[in-house]
Amino acid sequence: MTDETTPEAAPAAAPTKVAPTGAVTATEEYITFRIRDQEFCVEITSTREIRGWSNATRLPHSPDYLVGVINLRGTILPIIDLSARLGLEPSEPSERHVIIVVQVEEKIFGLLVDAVSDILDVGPDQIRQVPEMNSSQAKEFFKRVIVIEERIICEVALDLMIPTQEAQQAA
Amino acid sequence: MNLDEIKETFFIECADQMVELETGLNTLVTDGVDIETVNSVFRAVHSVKGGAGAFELTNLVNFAHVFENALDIIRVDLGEATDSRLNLLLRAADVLNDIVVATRDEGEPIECAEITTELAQAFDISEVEEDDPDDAINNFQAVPISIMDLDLGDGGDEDASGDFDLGGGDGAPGFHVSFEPKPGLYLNGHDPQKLFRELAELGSLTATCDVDKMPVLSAMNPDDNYLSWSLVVDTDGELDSNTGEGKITEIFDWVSTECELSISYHAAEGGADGPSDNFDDFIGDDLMDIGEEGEVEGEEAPAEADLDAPLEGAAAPEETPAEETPEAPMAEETPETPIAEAPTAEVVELKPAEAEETKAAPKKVVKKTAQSIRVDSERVDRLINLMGELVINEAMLAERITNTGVALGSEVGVAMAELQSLTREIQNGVMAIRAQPVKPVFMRMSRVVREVCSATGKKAVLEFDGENTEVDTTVIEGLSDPLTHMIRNAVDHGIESPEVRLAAGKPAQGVVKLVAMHASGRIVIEIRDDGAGINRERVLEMALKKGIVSPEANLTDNEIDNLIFAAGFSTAETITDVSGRGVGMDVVRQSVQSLGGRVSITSTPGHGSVFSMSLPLTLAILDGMIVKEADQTLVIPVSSVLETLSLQEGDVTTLGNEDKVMQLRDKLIPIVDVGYELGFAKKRETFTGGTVLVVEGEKDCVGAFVVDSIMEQQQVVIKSLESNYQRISGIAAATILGNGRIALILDAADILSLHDTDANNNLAKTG
Repeated sequence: MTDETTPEAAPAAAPTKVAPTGAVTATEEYITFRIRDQEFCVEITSTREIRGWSNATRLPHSPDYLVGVINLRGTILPIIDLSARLGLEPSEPSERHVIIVVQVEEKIFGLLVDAVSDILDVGPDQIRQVPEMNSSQAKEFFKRVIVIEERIICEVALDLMIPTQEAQQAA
Repeated sequence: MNLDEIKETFFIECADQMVELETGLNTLVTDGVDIETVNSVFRAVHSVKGGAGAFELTNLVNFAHVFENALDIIRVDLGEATDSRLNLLLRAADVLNDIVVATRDEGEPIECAEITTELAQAFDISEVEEDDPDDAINNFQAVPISIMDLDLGDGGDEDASGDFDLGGGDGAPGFHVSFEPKPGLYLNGHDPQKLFRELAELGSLTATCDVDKMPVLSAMNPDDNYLSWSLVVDTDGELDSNTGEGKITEIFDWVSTECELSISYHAAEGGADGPSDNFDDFIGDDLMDIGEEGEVEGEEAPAEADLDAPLEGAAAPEETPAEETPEAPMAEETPETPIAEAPTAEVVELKPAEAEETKAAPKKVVKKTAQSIRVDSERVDRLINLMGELVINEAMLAERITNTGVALGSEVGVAMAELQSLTREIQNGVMAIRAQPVKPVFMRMSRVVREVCSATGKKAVLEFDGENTEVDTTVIEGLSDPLTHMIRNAVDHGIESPEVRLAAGKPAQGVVKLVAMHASGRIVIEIRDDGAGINRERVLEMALKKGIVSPEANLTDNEIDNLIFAAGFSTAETITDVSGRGVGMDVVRQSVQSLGGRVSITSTPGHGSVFSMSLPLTLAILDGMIVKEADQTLVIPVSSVLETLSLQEGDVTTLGNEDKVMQLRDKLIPIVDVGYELGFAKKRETFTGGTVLVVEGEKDCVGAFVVDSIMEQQQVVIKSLESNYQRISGIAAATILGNGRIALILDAADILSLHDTDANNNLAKTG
């Protein structure tokens, strides 16, 4: 096993899904990370572990944001370059990069990000809907926006990260 | 555990019973009739019927019932088992199987009236339907009787007869139930008290205990039962005779084989003489089941002297006195949750031979320790996955130890060697868990033979050899289709019609032999028929006509025989129902190849053909050729590699636009630049010096895969890419190498079809 820090939150069986806004009064924990100078976050309950970069095996006929697959203790783990996925400049993976391993339903995959920055307790009053923006490729991948003081952090919609077979066939 | 799960378990067990049934019937046909086999066949049908009854699968119950009646005739007198009757039973078994499958999948109900009539005629069974003679009696008058307190004393002490109200007279209105438990009822943990409580829910109940059979204390056998009850249920007019009887029957369903029961409605003459329902049919079975146990003590029960099997024989080794049995674990069971403890997919299950009793009814006399367990295959898969991890980690550890320069003879080195041999042993053990005998698949084939025979008017019998050869379940699943095709083909095309056979000096009945064996780490399955063999002239003629071979080709006999596997080849002049759609053998070859296997044929004209399939023992691991290409490590399944060679200058020719081909002996083979094809590298400028793997895809497609170098050949653990990502064209799966890196396993057939399909086909045919 490589150097990795596992967040204390239990992975997998995430608690009941949170209603879009304000339905839950308790605070939720989010893990925030940086890509270039922007900050994003995901719910900590979908996060399984955080690990360092290790060389991935490229997959043929795959989209450019799919860096490849790595061996996560015997699981074939696809790695998504979140920067490229969000329409930003593709990353050039290095030792400094971090992989956030997340689980969406049955699928587990890794998000390649620049660095993990924080774990935030977010109350319902700090969560906003994604505002209407002019044709930004990014906005469709955002679920909600978290506003804490000066910081504006977009929550990444994990279920849209991996293209589904159907979506591909439709395209 | 909900009802659906129980039902699922029931169907799993049904499948076992069907195998048992078919095996038994086949044994009867081939080895002659003996009572042991007849009984086992009977038990199988009986178990299916019992379970089906619990789920109210009427169709299944009814047909199983007819089947059982027919078998009963044979069981009573073995002389009744004529060949034609046994063959009819075999066909009936097929129908029963169909009904089971249709019921399970909730598909169209299977038409079984015809075979039912046939059975009835052949076995001379007069249809005894459960017509309710009580329909006529409708002068029902409600006489309310208060529900008595059913105090049976401490947990069903039979001696507590005094607690019963004796007031229920014979002439009282309502349902009269005569209930005479056999000792088996108590031994299985049933409790009359609970049954009576259920009855009392239908209406007011009057229970009268009959103690007449109770002997003096000195003559009493504590294991025996001497008590019976007359019960009168007055439903206060709420239930008519039919539904009421049905409900009562339901209550006693689980003990039906463990008691003498009769139900009548408002019969003034007393319940015991009332028309008995079909539970009487069960009684004989019960005796047989118990008699089968082989633990009979040979002591006749005084109270049951008229019954020929000593019932206390059913006693478990940890025999408990009858007074205590109601407190046995199963005593808690009520008909609503009857098989709550029945085997689930994960629960210890008895071997079929012992298990039927458990299934026929919750007769939980577990007298033998379980010899096999039924385990959810997902659990086994997980274990196998972990095993794969262990192997990889061990390889990594070994590599690192070597790198640190520790001597092999050092303590660490010795410990490592021990770990390695342990790992290997565990690996074998784990793989053995998933290994199953091919027998169930083989058994299904005898049905195929029967069906083809009846469709073509040919006579053939299927024989087995090595049916207990074990192979991974994943392989077994994939085996059924190609085998069915080949068996059909063997009978339809191989075996001649009876007249032709007689004229050729062969017996009218042909023999198809299905043989399984292990050979050099693979399983080999042969289908031998003693038919006419391949008609080479016709095969060649047909192949020429269809352009499968060129006229100049000089083929050996063996090559001609194997032409039947070519795509679009079929020699049948008329398309029959059975085979001859022109896809048969081609499909066989493809499905065998998709399992990582190969198929071939050898044939002797006039004496028959032998189809031979060779398959890997598991689909969890494959033999891979590890190659380097464009800085990537790739795995090509050895099963698809025909040969390897290195390219010399002048071997490669450019055809037309960009297509490159190489000449191998007299064949032109398209060249596939693997790195370019997969998008890993630019097109190669030159192929000279490149390493070539000649691979075989579908439909005779052959391609020359060019790679940088071949590293080694090793077994790799197959990992799905789909579980976390999706299918990628050209890639079959992934694996993890000793260094912890992931390598992709190529799907040769897929890559070939991606690589300009048209050009390929044309080239392949010019060969």
